[in-house]
Amino acid sequence: MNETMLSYRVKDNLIHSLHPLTTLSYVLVITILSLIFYHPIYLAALLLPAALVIVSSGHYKEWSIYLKLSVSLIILIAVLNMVFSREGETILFTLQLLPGMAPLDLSLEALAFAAGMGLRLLVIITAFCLYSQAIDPDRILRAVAGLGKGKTVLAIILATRLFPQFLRDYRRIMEISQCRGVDPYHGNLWQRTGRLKPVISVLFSSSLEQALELAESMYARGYGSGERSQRQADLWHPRDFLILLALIIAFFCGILAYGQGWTAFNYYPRLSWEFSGSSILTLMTLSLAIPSVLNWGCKRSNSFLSKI
Amino acid sequence: MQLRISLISLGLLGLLLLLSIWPGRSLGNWNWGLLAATILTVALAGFFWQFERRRNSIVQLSFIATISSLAALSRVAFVPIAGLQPASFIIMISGYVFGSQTGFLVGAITALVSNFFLGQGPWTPWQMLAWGICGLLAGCLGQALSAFRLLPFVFLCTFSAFLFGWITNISYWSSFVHPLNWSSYLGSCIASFPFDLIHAAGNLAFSLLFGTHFYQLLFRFQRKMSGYSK
Amino acid sequence: MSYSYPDEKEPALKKINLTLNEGEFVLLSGVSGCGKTTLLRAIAGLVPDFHGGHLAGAIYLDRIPLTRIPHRQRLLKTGIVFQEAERQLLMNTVEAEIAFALENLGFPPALIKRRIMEVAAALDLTDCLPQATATLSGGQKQKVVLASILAWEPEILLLDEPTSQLDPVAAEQILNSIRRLNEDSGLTVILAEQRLERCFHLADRVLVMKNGAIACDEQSFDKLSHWAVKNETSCLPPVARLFAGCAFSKIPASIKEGRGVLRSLAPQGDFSPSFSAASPGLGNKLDAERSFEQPVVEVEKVWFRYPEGKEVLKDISFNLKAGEFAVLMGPNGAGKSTILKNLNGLLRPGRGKIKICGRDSKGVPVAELANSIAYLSQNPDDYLFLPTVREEVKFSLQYLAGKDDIDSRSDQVLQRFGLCRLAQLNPRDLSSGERQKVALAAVLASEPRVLLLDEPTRGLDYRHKEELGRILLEMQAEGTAILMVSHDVEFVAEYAAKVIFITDGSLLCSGSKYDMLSSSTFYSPQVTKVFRGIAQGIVTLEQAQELLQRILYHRQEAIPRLAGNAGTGEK
Repeated sequence: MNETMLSYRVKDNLIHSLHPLTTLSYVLVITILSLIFYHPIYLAALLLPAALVIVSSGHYKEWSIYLKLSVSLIILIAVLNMVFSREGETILFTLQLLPGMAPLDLSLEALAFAAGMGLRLLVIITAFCLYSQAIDPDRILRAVAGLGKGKTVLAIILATRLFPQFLRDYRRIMEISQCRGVDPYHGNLWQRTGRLKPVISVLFSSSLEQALELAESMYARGYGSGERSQRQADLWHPRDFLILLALIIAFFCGILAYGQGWTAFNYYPRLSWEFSGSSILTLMTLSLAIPSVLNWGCKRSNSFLSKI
Repeated sequence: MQLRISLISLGLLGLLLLLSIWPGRSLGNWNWGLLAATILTVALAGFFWQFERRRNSIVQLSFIATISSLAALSRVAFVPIAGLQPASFIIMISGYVFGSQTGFLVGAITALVSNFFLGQGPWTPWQMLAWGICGLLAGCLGQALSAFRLLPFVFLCTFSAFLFGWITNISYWSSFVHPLNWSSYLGSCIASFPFDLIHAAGNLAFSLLFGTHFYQLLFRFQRKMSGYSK
Repeated sequence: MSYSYPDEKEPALKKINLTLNEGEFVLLSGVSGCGKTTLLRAIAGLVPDFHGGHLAGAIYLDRIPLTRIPHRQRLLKTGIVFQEAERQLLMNTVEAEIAFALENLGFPPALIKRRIMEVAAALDLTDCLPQATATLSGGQKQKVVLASILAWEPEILLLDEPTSQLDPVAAEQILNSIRRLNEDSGLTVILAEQRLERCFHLADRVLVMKNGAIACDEQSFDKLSHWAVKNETSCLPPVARLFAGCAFSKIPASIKEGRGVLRSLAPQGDFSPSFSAASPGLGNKLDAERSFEQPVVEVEKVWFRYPEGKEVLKDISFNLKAGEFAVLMGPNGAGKSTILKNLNGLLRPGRGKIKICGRDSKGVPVAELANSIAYLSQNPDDYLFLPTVREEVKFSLQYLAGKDDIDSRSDQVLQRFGLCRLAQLNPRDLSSGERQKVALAAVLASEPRVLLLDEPTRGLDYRHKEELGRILLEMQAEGTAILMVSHDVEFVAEYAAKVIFITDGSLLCSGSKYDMLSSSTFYSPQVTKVFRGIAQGIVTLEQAQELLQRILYHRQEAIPRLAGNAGTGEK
């Protein structure tokens, strides 16, 4: 078992060696662009480089789990769109849900819209998969610790650090409760829930007592004694600037295409296949693919990583 | 006073959020998904900013972290019974005892921290807001009642499970569904109804079974906490 | 200076007058609840600043009243380490943990980096810096806490029982690091500690506290031991108690000195044969009577492997009869706790058989096995969740024993454990020693046939240890089989009967404590070490005292006039 329990995994490659804010910017650019794009080709142009980055950083397995989880949501999106959209003109079939109710017309356009939105969902899910897998929560929290007085961030860090300890405590207390003759695995749902009472109470009482000790430890180590300083956070590398530059280009391309109306797509009332701005689209995709290209370069040549 | 300011600001932000997704395009032909996400971010950031500005004791800070971590644990790995989520109950009982602001923070941090372990997604900020509001409502109830009364709390807890579902539904409804109107929103709520129902049943059971006991437990801690001067 | 906590009527510190000098290593001793922690908190400024309450009198730091020094300046001079490392760690990684205090105190980033590097090197933590604190061992965690304090280079280091939750080896390491800091960098150290045998020789000065006041303040061990002989013998380490018990005028502090004294008394010859034959006494007789009985616990060729693949138990076999008191000893990670978990059913052996009361435990749920096996874990807090002590005891009875006469039976149990006075209190408000007693009462309420204990003496002071020993001996006399995991050699030597050595998952040897402990070099009590080469089979303090009396007696008969000259005298 992974002791810290985090979904983040340490891996030795370029994507993982990026500054956490660089990776975060990448995720945000992809997410924002995907939210303003409707055109399936433009959405696919976001999905492709994001997927490349995921795969090249070695997270194919986790990504496939994310994708499987999103299938049910895509089905839900499809159903909702088809049931509630009245604007499509190409009726696939008519559904009589309940006798006496108006029949439902299910249109091809609604299905197409759902497919487009499913693509958008995949883009967002992929971006967040990258966030979960490639950003060390500790590093990102440290990078943003300067916000405000850092109280929120400290509370979050502390909660994250306590988590594995509480999990261990919980397992131990659960065992002890069994040794006292309380069997949480038998009986009906109500009984079993009731039998958790000793376990949860013990965990809470002990943890709250610990909260006081933690506070004392914080005070004894100077928390709140005046202005805080900030230790050196992660270092910026040329690769970070390179990728940030690429992100700016990609974002600009995306906004430009949006402003031109190229990223819109006429789903209703009838699908119309229009596509323009292929050069802008190519530029955007290539810029977004830069991290995976750099990563590929590092795999090819050992000295490449030390140069950037 | 501080609390009131933060409550009002949250209320205003919430109102704006509602306006932005108000069906019927009252704000023109906007991109609803992006707008909702922006306003959500502003709402959360605004609340956290209020917290940063307020003078909190160290004990309060460590309490918020501890209880959020416990709630996150209960969400990730607590119960050998599938489908039940004691996290809502934990957030709400601590909101009830320690007030709206603590309730909101505990809710928001719980969602964020538990997703460090379950995996972050576009749902994270929505869950933060939804659980934050659950904690906040419980805090308001706690302030309105002078002594602990189980029944109103149980009622609110059960209702909040649905509220949680309705708020998190906005996350996909606003970005993936067309048209955005009351009936399609209602549709998404119907789709999530079975899950919300299990959640509500869990909340009902937990608050009925453990409500009084946990109130005493936390109240005892609150008394202990008030002795500390930092 | 006096101090009382908020909501408490009785002051925690009463009229303390104390001057501590720069560079001193002060040992603060006394039973739990005597005010050690509060005194340290007062010196660190945590009371009344953090805890509230009322402080009368004044504390001066370099002749400036503490109340006039701002928080940050005060911290730069004093650092405090508390009991349990797990409950002080705040950050995810070791590096962040050490940096936390430096950031709070506003150190510039470059200096933070340097201090982390230096303190990590000094405490041998360099390799752990990027590690998650959750993955460290208990000893390492305490080291990290120590490092996080030492990083800002305070002049005074206050330590509140920093080793009470650690095993002897890790404790030794921590104490040695502290000693080195005191010697090399002139750090003033004030160490509150209960494990006196391990740190007596480190200190320049010893303070004994009693009921919130300082009862004794001595620089030389000699004077201290004289005070202790008159007032509280049990605050001395066993070797000193041995000689104090025979009224020596000069009492040796360490084993080395003790051996010197003994050698001068008995320069030649081996005294062991006659005594070791006489010593076992009670235990053997009982063993002989019970040899025909069916064992309560039978472990036959048990193998166990965790799902992750590490083989933890290899071919373990042993028996436990009613009224037997056995102890599992061995290094960390030898599989001692795993054996206990196999017995109470939390883990199931991969191969081999475990019979409880003659019945194979295979397939019997844990909760059912709990009827005959009681288990007390290291942490008594894991048992306490109800609002009163009485309900806590009743809880076990409800689940295990028959449903009738719970009230009268719980009263009996409370009486027996001397808990009647505390029956209506919330167990969470009690001291750690009392909490442990409540937990023990709760698990023993159902009158189990077998009692399993995991490190029960951890963090207890000698008074509570004695009481625990007494209760265990009573249970043993009533026919409960006791199996205990312990690192506490002195406790085992005093109370247990049988010792089983485990290493690397297999059984090394087992036998009576007289054979096992006296033949071991590491796992032997102080009195055995003192008598090594002089007499064999000396394990308990009582035995040792008897032997010492005899040696003195012999010597007096042989050369009566010399008795006083060697610096010793007899009653």
